Amino acid sequence: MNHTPRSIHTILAEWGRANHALPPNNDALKAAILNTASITKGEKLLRHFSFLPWLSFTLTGLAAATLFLAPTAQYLSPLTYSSAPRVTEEKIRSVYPEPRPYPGTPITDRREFLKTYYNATLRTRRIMDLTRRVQTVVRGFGGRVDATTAAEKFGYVAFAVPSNRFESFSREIRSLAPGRFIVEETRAENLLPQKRSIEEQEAYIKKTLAELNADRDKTITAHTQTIRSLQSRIASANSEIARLHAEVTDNPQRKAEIAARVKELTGLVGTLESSLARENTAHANRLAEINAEIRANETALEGVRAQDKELMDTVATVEGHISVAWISILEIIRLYVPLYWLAALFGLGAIAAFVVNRRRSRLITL
Amino acid sequence: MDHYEEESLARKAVRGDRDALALLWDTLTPKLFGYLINTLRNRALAEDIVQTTWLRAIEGLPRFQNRGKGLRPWLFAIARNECRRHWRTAPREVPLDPLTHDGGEGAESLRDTRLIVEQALQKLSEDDRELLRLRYIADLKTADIARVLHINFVTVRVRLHRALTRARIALTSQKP
Repeated sequence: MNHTPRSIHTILAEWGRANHALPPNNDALKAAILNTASITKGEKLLRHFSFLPWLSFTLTGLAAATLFLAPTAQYLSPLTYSSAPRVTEEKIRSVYPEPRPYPGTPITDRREFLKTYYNATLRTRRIMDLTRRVQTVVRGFGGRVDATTAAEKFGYVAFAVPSNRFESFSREIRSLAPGRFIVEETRAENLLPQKRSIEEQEAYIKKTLAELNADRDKTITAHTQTIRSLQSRIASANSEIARLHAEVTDNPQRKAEIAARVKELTGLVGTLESSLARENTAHANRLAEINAEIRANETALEGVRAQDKELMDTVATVEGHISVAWISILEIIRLYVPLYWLAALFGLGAIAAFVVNRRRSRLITL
Repeated sequence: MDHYEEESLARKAVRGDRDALALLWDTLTPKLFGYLINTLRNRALAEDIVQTTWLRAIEGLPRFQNRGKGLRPWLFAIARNECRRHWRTAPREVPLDPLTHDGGEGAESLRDTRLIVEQALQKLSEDDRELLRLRYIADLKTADIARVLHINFVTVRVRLHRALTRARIALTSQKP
């Protein structure tokens, strides 16, 4: 045997070929193997989805991330986006007197003087456009724009509209954005306590005025009587003085009597005239006081009536503000699909991808 | 059949082509069975492991990514793993006398060559014999043997060269 390297290779190659053999039950084995390698048509399709493990991981991660974000999903409060001052109860109290009597208002008085406040927040991706439209709506319903702000991500309109047009106005505002994109708040307060307070004050003032006018009349009447009395006495004294001066007598005693009487009467006239002057002065002072009180009460009455008018105007006006805030795509999704549902969908998708992938790896059943 | 032909048949088999799978069986099974016979020295056991190897290969075929490395190395790697799994539960077979070993079919001269070489190879280490089995029975190239054994290509070449040298010496020493 030639055992050169080439020959050893040849020998070993022959040896290798000699070892090649089929199993004794080759046909049966082959048939069994081929039969177990049957692949269904549907499973062929599944074979192509080699990306399923990664899909399952990705969906699981998305489900976890969504659950992490879910608890923070909240519907908006209009207060969140408002930075402008709002009409508050303090303002009402500063304008209108404290309601009296305390406490509360009797149920027998069932009048309503509702002061309505309306706040809304609109979410949109077109801030400037929507802010302009809100202003147009306010003016279109006979309202007034009190303040406005328009920026890239935020808009704000403070307004006042007549209360008799409020329903139409709010309906128009709601039509500016889909339902999920708008959050509204309407508050109403019955200003009946304030109204009752005003009415009580008015009644009190009117009563005071009536009393003052009565006092004035009485004062004038008394003064007139007093003046008349004094003047009558003065006239009587002057008349007697004139009569005495007109009396001609030679009787020294009579003359002395006349002189004494004239002196007495003159003194009386002086006193009466002094009294008259004092009475006039006192009357003028009293009258001035009464008139001053009357004027003060009339002024107070005008003030109360002005308050009443203001209250009625307030009731007749709906005030509020509308905020326009920018919304992202993710927030839009969250409005329509609560995040826990989204997390559940991702989780189900991950489970489905995992199950399909497991089936795919068992395409050839044993 | 080269690597690309094997890969093409494997792809067809994955898509459900039974003929492609049958052709792979006919091409690879003689080498696989011969390798296992020579390794295990037990025909029945070799038959079982042939079946198990093919079943595992078919199971993993959809996930098998060829990348030009061929199906055969992968198949023989599975066979080696099955042998090791068997040896973990049962001791290795005692090397039998090649003269009484129930050999395969073939020309008498081939059988004689096989017997002579078997006798000579008994003097080699198991690692050398494994290398020679993979090279000449399984008909794997050096790069494929490196993939099967998970060692460096250069290491395989060096060890193969040494194994051939020792085999030549062993055969020479058997010269009557």
